Amino acid sequence: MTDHTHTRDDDSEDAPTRRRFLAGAGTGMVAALTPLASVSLPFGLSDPAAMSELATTYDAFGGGTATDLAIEHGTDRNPSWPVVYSEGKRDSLETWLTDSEDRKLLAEHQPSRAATIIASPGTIRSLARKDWIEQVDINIEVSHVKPVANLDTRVENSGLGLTSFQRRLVGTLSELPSTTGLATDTDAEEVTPAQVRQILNADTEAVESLDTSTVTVAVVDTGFNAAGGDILGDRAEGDDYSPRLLAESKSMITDETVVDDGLDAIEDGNGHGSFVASQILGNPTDSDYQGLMPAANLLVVKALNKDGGGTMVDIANGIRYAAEQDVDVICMSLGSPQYGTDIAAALEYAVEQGAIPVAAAGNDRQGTRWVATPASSEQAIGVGATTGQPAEDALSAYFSNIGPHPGTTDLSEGATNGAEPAVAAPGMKIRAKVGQTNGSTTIRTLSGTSMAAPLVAGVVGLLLASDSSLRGEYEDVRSRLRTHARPIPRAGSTEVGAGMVDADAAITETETGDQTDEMTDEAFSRNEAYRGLSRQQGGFLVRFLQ
Amino acid sequence: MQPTRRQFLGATAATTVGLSTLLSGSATAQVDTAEWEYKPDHVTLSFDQTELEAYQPKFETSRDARRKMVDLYGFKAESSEWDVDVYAYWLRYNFQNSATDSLGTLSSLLSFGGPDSHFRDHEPSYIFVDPEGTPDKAVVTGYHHYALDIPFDDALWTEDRLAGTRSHVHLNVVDPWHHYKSVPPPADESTATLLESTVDLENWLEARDPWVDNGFYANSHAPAIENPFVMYNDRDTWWADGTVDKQLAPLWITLGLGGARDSDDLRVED
Repeated sequence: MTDHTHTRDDDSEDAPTRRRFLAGAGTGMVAALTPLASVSLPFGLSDPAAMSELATTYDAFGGGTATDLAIEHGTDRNPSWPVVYSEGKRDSLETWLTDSEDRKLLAEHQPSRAATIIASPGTIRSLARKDWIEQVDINIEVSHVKPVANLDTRVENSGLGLTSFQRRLVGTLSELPSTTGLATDTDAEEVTPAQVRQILNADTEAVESLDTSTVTVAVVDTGFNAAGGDILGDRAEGDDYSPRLLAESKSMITDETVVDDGLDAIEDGNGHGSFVASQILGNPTDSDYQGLMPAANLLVVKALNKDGGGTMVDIANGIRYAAEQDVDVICMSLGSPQYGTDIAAALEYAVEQGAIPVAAAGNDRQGTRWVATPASSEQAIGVGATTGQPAEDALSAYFSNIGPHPGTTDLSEGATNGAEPAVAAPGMKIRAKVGQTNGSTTIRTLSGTSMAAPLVAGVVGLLLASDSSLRGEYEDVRSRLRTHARPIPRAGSTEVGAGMVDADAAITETETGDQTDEMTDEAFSRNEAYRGLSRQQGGFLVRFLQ
Repeated sequence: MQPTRRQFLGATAATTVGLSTLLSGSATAQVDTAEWEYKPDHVTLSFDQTELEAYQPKFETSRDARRKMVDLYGFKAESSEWDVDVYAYWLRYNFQNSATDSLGTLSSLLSFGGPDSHFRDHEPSYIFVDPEGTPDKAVVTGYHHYALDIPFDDALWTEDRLAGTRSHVHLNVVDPWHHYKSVPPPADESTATLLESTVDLENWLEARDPWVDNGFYANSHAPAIENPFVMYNDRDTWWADGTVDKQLAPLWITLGLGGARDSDDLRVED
């Protein structure tokens, strides 16, 4: 069974070497085909080792990935930079900040030694050269994994995200991934939460008898519309909202909390977060729209605005905030094709604090292709999307991002090499009852890995409710989930990981079979082609270097 | 008044060791914050806010300089080999013009591509005090970290915190470089105030490690910081030997750059 095989880059001394490699030949096919890729080599050498590869692409006077995505501040238009300082060096950072009036502290989380600083690129490079600075990244825009509004009826390889010349070269080196067997619009039927519970084997006696009221799930997203008591239920007479909605729910954008500022603090002008939360925790009067854990508690962490966009720093700090509220599960239906060291560090902190992060794989298989950040992290359970069918019939959604990540295309310096979705869940034409900003509710149908991730978060919560010894045990939970996932024969492990999550099997530790043994020839062929493509994009060489 | 040295030769030897250590290594050698390798065993450093406020200089400053001040940092140095104690103060700013700024485009050429190390700096003033608690003299930065001697003189010192003792040297902060000139107190001495309304007096001994982490020692003569007695007579600058700053400062003085025309007679010019 294939799993994440990448290892974290802990040795900063290694970073320049790897970066040099990745900037040049390491990008594999990209470097081979794009002369400009090797041009970055000498510039890469001059960057401090502590700076992330993404941060080095910021150029105030020209192009570059980070230049396009950076969050800039004030009249100077300086970016903000998440940094991690060494243990015991908080005073040194404070001294550095006050050494000049051109540096400003935007946010800080001292327990994880993380600070976000507004400064010019030159100033931040001087900071990155200090031996007490461990990591410098750049704050970029990250968005929710945008639901697929109109599912395609057919999908072709023309959207591989490669130029025609690159595709011809790949074709000569390995088999081009086939799109045959992927689920498109015509393959997907609408499914209600009640049907989803059946598909995930969450409607058995063993599952439905669980008391989930001791479980708390954080939804890091666009907010949540409580719509009175219509979504979470249980509202007492005279209360504005259900006690299951934690008063510590917070907007990372405005720093407002429900306890201090009321429900407006987390108002969801987008609806995405409300959809996700309803899938996990919904408890309306209509049982068809009951979520997987109708008695669990919800911590809303609003890190994305009404357009679905947010900053890497708000998301990272949202993850940290959720962890500090002692949540059991963190659901993140959001992502970026660019790796973020701040989010990676926040996930590490969250896992240390006992939270189990779950993340959507991404909806861009025909473009950026590989599992997005944060699903590509070792510290998050990445989730791929399938049709709303039992595992034996399900198909992988054509948009659902895949692995194994080569680690060369997301400016991660190889950190994401080998990352794949850990498991899968239905993510096509999913129905849910959603609260609106005017206090009413509506039934919406959405498609995307955003809709698959909350189902896995719900199953994780059920697992924790069944066995309290698993709380805070990220690796054990992940392993249990994968070991007892149900194989999806018509999908590759690069698409669905260990298969469809199965709540009852995970709880009762029932044997379910092995995804890699059950694949059809078509799925196997697609799987091998994806692996070949990953190798061509430098994945093999990165693994060799590691 | 000349202080007597208990062990003149011993003190000189200690200074020589400090110099040779620095000369044999790089002027920008890394300093381990855990070590105080430039403080001799005979020197003891301490911080007592009340005592340090008693000898704190009175600064005559512009509004711009006050705006750029971060804090005043102090410590006291005592030595079994010296008959004087030192009250050392470092005034820290968050912005400072480079000595070569006035040259415009020529500045990068003359300063080897960047501002000199004085850029965003810390300005020292050391007050040497005899065993009776009377100031002996002040040694302050008179221009670009070059020492300016200010003798104890009723006309240049004022009384405030110590009854019956004119314990506060009066200094004019030269904008925008922030070195000091010795100026008489105003006729109404009560208008010469301490900086306490502008900045706090902080414990330099606690700030030292973060300062080291931020390159404070990078071009400085480290013994002149950790063993302030070496500035009593023996050195004319806080810069480390071999640094560009030390080598070029006499040229700046000759050319009158960076406020050099607006300075008193420095020790180096004697």
